Amino acid sequence: MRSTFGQYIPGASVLHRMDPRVKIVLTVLYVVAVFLTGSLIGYAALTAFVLTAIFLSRVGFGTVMRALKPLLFIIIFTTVINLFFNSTGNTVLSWWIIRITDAGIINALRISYRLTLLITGTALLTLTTNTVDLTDALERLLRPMKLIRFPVHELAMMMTIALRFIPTLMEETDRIMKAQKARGADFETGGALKRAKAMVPLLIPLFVSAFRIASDLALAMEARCYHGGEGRTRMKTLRLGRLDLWAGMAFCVVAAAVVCDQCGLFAFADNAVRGLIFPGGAL
Amino acid sequence: MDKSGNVGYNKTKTKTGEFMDAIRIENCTFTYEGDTLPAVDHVSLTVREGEFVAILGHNGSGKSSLAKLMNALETPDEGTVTVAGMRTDETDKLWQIRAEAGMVFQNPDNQIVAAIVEDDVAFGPENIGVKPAEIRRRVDEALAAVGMSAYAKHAPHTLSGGQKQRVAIAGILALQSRIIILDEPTAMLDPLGRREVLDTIRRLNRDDGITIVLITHFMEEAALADRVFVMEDARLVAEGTPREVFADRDMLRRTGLTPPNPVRLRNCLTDEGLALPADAFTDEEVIEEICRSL
Ligand SMILES: Nc1ncnc2c1ncn2[C@@H]1O[C@H](COP(=O)(O)OP(=O)(O)OP(=O)(O)O)[C@@H](O)[C@H]1O
Ligand SMILES: [Mg+2]
Repeated sequence: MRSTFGQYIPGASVLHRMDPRVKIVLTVLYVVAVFLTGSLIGYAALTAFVLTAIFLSRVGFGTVMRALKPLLFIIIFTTVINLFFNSTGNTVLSWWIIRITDAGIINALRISYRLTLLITGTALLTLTTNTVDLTDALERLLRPMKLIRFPVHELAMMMTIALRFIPTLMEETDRIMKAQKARGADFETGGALKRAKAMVPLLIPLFVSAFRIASDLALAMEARCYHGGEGRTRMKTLRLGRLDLWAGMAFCVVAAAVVCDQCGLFAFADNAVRGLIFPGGAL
Repeated sequence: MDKSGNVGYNKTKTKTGEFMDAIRIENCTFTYEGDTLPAVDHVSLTVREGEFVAILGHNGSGKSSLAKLMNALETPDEGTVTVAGMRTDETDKLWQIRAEAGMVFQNPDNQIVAAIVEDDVAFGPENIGVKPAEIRRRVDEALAAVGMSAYAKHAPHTLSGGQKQRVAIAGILALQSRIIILDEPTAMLDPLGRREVLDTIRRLNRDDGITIVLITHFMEEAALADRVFVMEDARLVAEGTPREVFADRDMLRRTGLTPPNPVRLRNCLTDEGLALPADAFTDEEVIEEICRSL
């Protein structure tokens, strides 16, 4: 439970101090860039970007890499699929029904590296931004969606409340579990089915609790003048700072590299490296 | 309510001499939808500005329902409720009334909205559209007023019950409420938490002149009030100073209330034939009376 994907690590680094809205926007653009790019220069630019960000975040390289762990299986799986089941390109190795081609190898490498970049980059966002700021920033970013009647404020409020009450409900679960254990309930032994069944009497009181909390909270919110997003202000205002400008400019450079790459401007570099890896093959 | 100027609870005690009624309930009856018996039945009472009143009564006697009438969470079927001169059935005054009369509930967990203490305190003023810089100022002052400044950035679930209730009080102060209605705020707290909360509300009442309506099951808490109201079966059955109310043994027996310990001691001794005045009710008074009569 502890090593949840990209759980926030408090800090005061440059990345921590950036406007969460900018962090979200840059992360989204970064993800797009990762998917768009297909060549070495592009990957190099993105790698430099993410490595610099990791360095600036001061959360530690290991911490960021640990975010890969839960997704390692997916990375390996896609890599293997791409490696073994690619029929284009020149055969490098052939055995039984397996035929590994050079295009297959390139593809597998590309996919696994793409996923690695994707995960480390997004993990960096959640590692350096607490969930409250994240929700806040999302609400502000999505505000224009109100025009098409998208319930932005309501969603953000729901997220805020969910975040607030996760620990409370955990405590409640613990309390109910203890109460039932004291009455002889057994949550630990037996097969999966038996244990799942033992959870049912846990869920019902938990649901009852959740509904009671919800109705109490609704009353408390009303008593404190809550009446939806209409005319509501926020204490914490977000302002773009110099840091955000710098981050934006850095990303622009990376984006420029990726775009040039897409236009084939760097094709020579790519071919040169491919030539190095597969001296014989003409890809 | 002034939204621009001074923070209400920092004003020196207002307009002494010319006391306005903070809350005026006139002949109110209120029945929940679907219920047959009223939860509040022809109740009339007045709470003056700057006063500290307590409401007593056993379970289901209608105390919480009465509290909900006091800040327009419910409106009476009959009669009127007036809060700081505003009638609660005037819908255009709804937010002003709720900002004027804040409410603290029994369960400390189920009334904190945000995942950070200061964000929760800011919730009220945010709802009524106060400017960000002003909210910041109010939040800092409100947290200081309840002694919780050091916990501004903490997560609510890491606080003790008493601290959570103080945060809830701060959330009301940030709305610049001149009236605080507390519905059994100490019922789920340990003795230490009860002490914290009581000290806080007494200080706010004494130093800042905030009107306090305290609903409680604890007689020792009611004994601190200027006046006490007793509810029974949706009706108001007694009102007066704690001294008067705790002297009325018949009423207490009828409503199933156990008076504070010194009063019980006095009652026992009187029953045993010791002649004590019927209105001594603090520890010191009763001790003094006993000493004198021996
Ligand atoms: N939301 C509701 N809907 C319907 N009936 C209600 C509701 N809340 C309370 N009642 C009923 O109204 C009556 C008065 O309840 P109320 O909660 O005001 O009592 P109380 O004095 O606050 O009791 P307690 O000491 O248990 O808090 C009770 O009979 C109760 O069943
Ligand atoms: Mg109640």
